[in-house]
Amino acid sequence: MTSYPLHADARTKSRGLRLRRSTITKLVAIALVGLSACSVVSAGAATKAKAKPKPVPAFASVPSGTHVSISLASYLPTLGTVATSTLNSWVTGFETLHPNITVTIEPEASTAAGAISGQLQQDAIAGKTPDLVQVPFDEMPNVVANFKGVDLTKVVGATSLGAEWGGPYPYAKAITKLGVLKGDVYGIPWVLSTPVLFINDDLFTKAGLNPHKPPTNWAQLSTDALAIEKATGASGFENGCVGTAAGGTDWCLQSIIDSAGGSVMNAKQTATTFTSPGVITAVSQMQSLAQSGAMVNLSIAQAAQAWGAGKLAMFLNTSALQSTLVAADAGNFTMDAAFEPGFGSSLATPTNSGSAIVMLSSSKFNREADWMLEQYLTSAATETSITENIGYVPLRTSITTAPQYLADWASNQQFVQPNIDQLNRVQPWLAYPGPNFATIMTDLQNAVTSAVFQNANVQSTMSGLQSTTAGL
Amino acid sequence: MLVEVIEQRPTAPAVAGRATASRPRRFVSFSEPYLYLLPAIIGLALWIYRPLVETLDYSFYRWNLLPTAPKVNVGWSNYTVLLHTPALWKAVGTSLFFLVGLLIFGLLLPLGIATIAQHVSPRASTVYRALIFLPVLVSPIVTATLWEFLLSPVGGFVDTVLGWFGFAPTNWLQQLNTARYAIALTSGWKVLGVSVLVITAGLAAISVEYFEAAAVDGANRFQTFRRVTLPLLSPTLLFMFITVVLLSSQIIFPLVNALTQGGPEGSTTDIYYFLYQNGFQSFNVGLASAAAVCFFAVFAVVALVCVRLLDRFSFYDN
Repeated sequence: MTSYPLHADARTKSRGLRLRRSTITKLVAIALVGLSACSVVSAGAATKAKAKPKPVPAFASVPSGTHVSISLASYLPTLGTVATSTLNSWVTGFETLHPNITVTIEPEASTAAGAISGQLQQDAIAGKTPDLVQVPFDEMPNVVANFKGVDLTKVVGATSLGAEWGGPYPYAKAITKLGVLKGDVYGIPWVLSTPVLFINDDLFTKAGLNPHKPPTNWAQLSTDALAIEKATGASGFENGCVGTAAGGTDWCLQSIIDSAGGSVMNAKQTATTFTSPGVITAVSQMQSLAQSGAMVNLSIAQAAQAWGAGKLAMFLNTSALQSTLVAADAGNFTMDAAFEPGFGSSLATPTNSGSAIVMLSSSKFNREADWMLEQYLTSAATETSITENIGYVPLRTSITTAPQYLADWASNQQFVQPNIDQLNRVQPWLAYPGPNFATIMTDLQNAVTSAVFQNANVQSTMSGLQSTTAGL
Repeated sequence: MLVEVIEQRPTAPAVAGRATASRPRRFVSFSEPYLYLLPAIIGLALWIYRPLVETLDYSFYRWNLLPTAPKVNVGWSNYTVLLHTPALWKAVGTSLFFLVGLLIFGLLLPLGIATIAQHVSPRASTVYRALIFLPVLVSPIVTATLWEFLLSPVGGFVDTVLGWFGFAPTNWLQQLNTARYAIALTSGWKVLGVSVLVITAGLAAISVEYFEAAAVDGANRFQTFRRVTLPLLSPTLLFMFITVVLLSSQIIFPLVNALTQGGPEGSTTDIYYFLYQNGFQSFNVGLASAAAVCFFAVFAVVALVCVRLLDRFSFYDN
């Protein structure tokens, strides 16, 4: 009596279990397919346009009783912990001075070609465009046009701008022009650097070389790098202007090309000139450095680690990397900075990388708070901190002789001096016209990487690049 | 015990008899299970099915995702352009390459490890399994950073060890012929732990009696594995297969993004990185959506086949 129903029960149970299991598996499978295939649109959820407050043109200071929260998107955190804590200390300083204003830092993830525009676009889609954004000079036209950059000449006015550029320690006049588009000021230049050659003095000495006579041209650099590799087993040279460490941007590659007497664009800046003799000379020189083994191809993280371990003798990169490298060496060896190497007997033509702060807020109080923060972040005191702690060139050049600012900072002059000297012969970093500026830059770096590190034929690679970018 | 429970049931109609008048109450008792399911269903519809429908919609437009930018209907052109893009087919090849790598690390190796670990003393095998599972707990970006240092050509651990045996340093992540192997290895390292755990659980679920019976019949170790272990483990193996195939994107994407950004020369750009580059770097959301729809269709077929196989080859020991 009892055995039959029990059996039947067990069977149904088993079938139920089986059915349920396969149904669950199907559901899981379907959900997984959904997850894997539709990731591209999940961000589209927030696209429904938000009603934006109407722009208020009038300009003043934030009344002390009004509380305002603003956000600053900055790529300084990508430069490492020292740069991050320095940035945070400015924000704390500003907030102490203005308790009614709260500042949030939104770290920009990358400085690769077009990355800031990309991130702003993602922010806009998510409905959280920052109030202020640090924009590399090559991206300014695109950011201002697509994300409604505020025309400071109109909104802040000439008087306030004049006060910002002037004062006891004025901006270098040429630098103020870097934030101008079509005659109006859209960006306040904030940080500026040139490529410098970081040197591990100890490795030079071990190889019987004089670290105070660093290589001045590529041929000499190649000889020194190979000598150091042979004598010490360390790597001779890592070039942050080509390959992985360049991160797809071309500001410092342009300076190598300029130094070889070339340019990436014609004089009118209407067409690319990737097959011109100067470009070919520059790329061929880099290729021979890689082929001889004098130059390695590391990521920034790998290079910083190798540097810290004392296994890299020379590293060409933005002077802004100074804080990271000083922190990485941890006092294990003496480091120095020298000029970017040139071709033959002529000095290199450095370009400048750098960025301006662009205002994107549309509400009155936010704009007022933005302007107060911009003034604070470009003050002589902050500029001092920018140069000392991170390694950028001071934009208010006279602070280098002011005792309360940079004059007493003698112990680290070896880093800042090449940077300031190179500023005297700096050539602008050319921005490609049109919306495809980032694609051209990335394509250029990819082509150069494949010629330099994958041994592709220089002439034909650059010809191929010239024809693909012509369409852009 | 069971009989007692059944006997309690007849008392229920008495309650129901009183409740016949109350329709709302009957409705509540009918809809109760569905109400429990509702939050999950809403979540699924909102986060899975709505984006799916939107992806299908976007795939017919040319748009850069900005709310202020115009959406241009381009019909099937995104699909034609996509299928004529050589980079897509290269990415499909790379994805298949990564998948084979993942199946080796997610199926073959764990099967071997789990089978061997069976014969290790219980305490040792616990330590052993814990060590193998450890990488699973490491977040993908930390994994990437770790391997970036391990694989560095200047002072990296891998090259240093190989150097002891006379090998010249290799730039694993930046050389055309090694980058995809490096990604396959790092993603495999990540998936191995879960697979070993799942397969060990599957092995533990097989009744010892089968092995004893096989031993009585004089089967050697290989025959036992081939005729007893494998068939009884087939549902677990199929489950791992489906999981690895469908989750490969989540495992591989962060590593590619952090270690090689699809390079050198696009050699590590798989279909998901291709999709990401088009959707979120070039903001060509139409083309990326078309690609997503195609991938969805392909994976739906794969999933369906897998589920059929699972039904067919499953054997549930009672």
